[in-house]
Amino acid sequence: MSEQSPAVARYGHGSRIPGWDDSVDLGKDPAPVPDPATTPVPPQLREQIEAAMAKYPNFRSAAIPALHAAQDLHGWCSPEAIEQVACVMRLTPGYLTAVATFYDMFETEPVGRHRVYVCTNISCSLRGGPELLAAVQQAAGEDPDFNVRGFECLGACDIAPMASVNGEFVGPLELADAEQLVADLREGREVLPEKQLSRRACADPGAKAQAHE
Amino acid sequence: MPRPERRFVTFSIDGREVSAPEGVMLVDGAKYGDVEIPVFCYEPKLGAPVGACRMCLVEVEGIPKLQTACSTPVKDGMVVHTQTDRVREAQNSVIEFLLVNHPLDCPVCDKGGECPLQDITFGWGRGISRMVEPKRHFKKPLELSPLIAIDRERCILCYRCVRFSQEVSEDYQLVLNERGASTYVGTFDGHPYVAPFSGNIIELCPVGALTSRAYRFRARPWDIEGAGSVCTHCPAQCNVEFTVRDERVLRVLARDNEGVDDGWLCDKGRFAYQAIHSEERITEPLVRDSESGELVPATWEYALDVAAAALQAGGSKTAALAGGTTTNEEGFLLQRVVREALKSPHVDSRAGLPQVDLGLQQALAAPGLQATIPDLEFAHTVLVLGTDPIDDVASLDLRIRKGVRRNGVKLAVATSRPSALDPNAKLWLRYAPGGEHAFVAALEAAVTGSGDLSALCDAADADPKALEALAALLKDGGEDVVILWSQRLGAAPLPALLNVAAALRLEGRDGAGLIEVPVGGNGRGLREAGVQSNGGPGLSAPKAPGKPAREIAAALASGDLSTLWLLHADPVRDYADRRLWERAAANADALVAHATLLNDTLREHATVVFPAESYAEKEGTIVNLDGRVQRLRVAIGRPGAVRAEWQVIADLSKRLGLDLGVLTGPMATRQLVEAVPFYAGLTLKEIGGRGVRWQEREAASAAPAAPAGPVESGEPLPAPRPNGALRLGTYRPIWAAPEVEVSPALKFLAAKQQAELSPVDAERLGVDNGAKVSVTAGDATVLAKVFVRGNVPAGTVFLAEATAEQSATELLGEAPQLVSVEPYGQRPPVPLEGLARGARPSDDEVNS
Repeated sequence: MSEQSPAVARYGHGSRIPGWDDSVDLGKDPAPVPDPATTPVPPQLREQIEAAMAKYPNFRSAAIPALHAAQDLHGWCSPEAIEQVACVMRLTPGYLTAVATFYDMFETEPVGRHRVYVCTNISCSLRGGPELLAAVQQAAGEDPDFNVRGFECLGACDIAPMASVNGEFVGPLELADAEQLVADLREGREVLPEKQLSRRACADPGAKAQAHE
Repeated sequence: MPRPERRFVTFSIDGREVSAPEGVMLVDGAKYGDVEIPVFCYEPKLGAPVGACRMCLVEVEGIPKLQTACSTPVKDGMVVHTQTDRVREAQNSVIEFLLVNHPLDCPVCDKGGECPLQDITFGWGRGISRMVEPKRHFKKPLELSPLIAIDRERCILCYRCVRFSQEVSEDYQLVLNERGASTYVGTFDGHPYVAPFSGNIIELCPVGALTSRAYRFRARPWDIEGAGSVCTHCPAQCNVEFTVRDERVLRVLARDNEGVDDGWLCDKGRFAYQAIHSEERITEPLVRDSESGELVPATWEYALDVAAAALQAGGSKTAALAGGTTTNEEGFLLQRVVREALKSPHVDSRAGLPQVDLGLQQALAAPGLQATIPDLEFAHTVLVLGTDPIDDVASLDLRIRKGVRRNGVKLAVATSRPSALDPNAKLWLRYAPGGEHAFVAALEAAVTGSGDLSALCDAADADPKALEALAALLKDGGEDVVILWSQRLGAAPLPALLNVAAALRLEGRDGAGLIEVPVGGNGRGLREAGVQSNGGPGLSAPKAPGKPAREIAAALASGDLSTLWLLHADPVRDYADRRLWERAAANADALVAHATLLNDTLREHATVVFPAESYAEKEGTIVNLDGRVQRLRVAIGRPGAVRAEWQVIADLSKRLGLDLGVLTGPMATRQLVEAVPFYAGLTLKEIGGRGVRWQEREAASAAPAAPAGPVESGEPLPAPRPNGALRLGTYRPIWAAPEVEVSPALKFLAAKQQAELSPVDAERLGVDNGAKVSVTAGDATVLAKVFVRGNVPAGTVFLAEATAEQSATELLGEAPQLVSVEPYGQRPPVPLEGLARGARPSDDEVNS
């Protein structure tokens, strides 16, 4: 692939990061650890975060699972979601922002609820990953429900080219599958059931059940 | 934890045999052999090295790859080379790499001329770059806070600022967002980085990425001079270096003194210098004109004559109060004039707090019982009692955090108001405001095992189990216990505190003891200089005991005293019972004041106002909270007609018929040293730039002997019970100070009144965060914005003291009391700002 992937936005000065040019908003108050008295947290999210914190010797290790739980609830790591996690974990929102912006699977902007990550790393790209990405993007069009993006290796080279659809690995995919994939998602069906990794005979029979609980 | 012992090891660097302490990093070890290794990210004050910038690469024999000298400890027999071709090539490459996207805009950069990146590029760089591609360019400068500007082009991602925020001040607000080449320093969701110590990152930045918005483009390094002195804004008395250009202070930098500040400054210390050059500064004597009734400028001769006549008329009915920033010499001369020339015993500097029995003071100040500030870092256990260091003595907050983080100090916090140190504490306890005596008595009972613990805990509204845990921690957590206690505890709990110290055997133990946090920047020094009603110089008994500040106010209001003389003191603003003081000032026949800024009291009631020196213009000595006598040096000339204060006092004294025999500042120092036995022989030379703790000098043996044995601690009164009405707790925020209000850079931080309520009480009252409430005690009312805090104990409301408006001192009387809190302002809407001081809402308005 010689051209820059169109999925990656670039800014005039060559940086991909909008934050570089952002000043703080002096009208805002500083952001210390949120006070529980004034930061309501959904009870279910609180439970998930506290369960995650209990798993590690240092509670800070739970930052990633806690942010995932908040992202699942809010759709993305919104300032509100980050504040809720910060409130339960007794950390500053800044600490969690650093984590959320560092890792790729945390969304720091609102995105569509259908996550389609198409692998464009070596094995997949040799078998047409970038073309598949373009096809899925075209099939999804401007639909705001879709979050289609190219992704680095997802560790499923045996089914290249593949994609992760809401966490479900599907592959090997053909260009023609793109339309079907998008249509399945739109209509709320199982996505390409015959190509799901977890439905393979060799897969752990319990895996499917767990993934959907 | 006891201080680690230092052993020395020998290693070779560039062919030289060097002996350095074991375990220090090569960068520091190399300095013992006069070898400089360049660094950007390494700063030992920030904790463990990160090796982020790679500038310090050196060759160590036996290790194939180059090593970062900042994170490689020296070992016995190590052979290090810093001048080989490999090392030089690596240094050149690192510089070239760091400069790939650096804009090289040194000619317009504030850091130019004092920039480590410039210096190291010059010293260790190749001199040319192979980078031909366009550099990244961004908008600049951007605001990071109202105090700090950030220029992300210049940033070399050394992590220093972020490490400061995370590992030193522990506010965790400043972070690195994104990763790799995209990394940038930022905050959460565009919130500004506002924290009490944020200014330190400006000084830490090794490039021009973080600059002070107050100092930007004010001067170049070759325009300025540094003048070392001491900050007088709080009793920590951090050592500072003023950046002076053309007789103006343009910047304040830290002057690292391990025994005092550990190299950090709070933002008040760093930016409140602007008050020195405020437009509102008084620069000439003001005398009240008898016809117009206004204060009008006057000559020194006339002002001195008027003031002397007023004081003469007052005679033994004169009372004098000295504020916290007064030097020892000024305080000493003041009490001499009042006691010797005016024959009045009424002098005080205790900020209106209860008078403490002199014997008790002597016992608490016994040299053997004093801990030092560095002891906070190495003790086994530290108990913070009745003070939140962030507000009362800012830099100790960082010192305590450092001890907990690095040395595993066990921290216990016992306060009525939730403290900023709670999250770091092994144990935190709350007691009710007004229950200080009962709480300390309960602690004594728990430590000594005698006394009725549960009844005392009940009186203090404290948890007996927590107190027992605290006593166990103090007794069994190691012998080195430091108790940091506040003068605000009052007088009654102090016998019990002494008994606790005796039971823990703190006396005479190095690394253990008590540290008192006085109120006012030089509170300790003034007491030692004799500026208190029941104590003369050197904590000696005065000829005749005088009235403490509160009684002075009552006597002025009732006419028993006639004249008030104020040296840097503003009792109406700072002391409890504002309305009593307002009456006192209004009722006084004459009011003579030395002040840098006018306030309403002086404007309305002062007879004479002498322009006072700011702390950058003074010479003299002050004493910080652990007894370190430090020296103020003149950094800039005095503006306008301002004269030295010792000189003004001496001139007044001469007119009152007493020649003080003081012709220069150092002569005043000598008189002070002669009068205070435990300062004996102290010279300005000995004090020098770092100060000297008087307890560590031989003359300390001349300190007054403390009465021996357990002290009778008296029966504590129970704290008031909330019965629908709430208990009132007060605190003085770090930002509640006139110097903050008149400094343009800090103005945005100036404390506004807020009522800290527990969620329970807020719900019961039906008020949300940000709503307005009126807090009423008797016929005094304070309006405040509600601030709901989860960790405020139910039944208590906390208000700030000494705010410019709506200060809680209005509600404070002689005894702790209950206040009623009501929602305010739904009908009729009266804007909070519209209610100026004095214009209190009528009862109808408040209750509607």
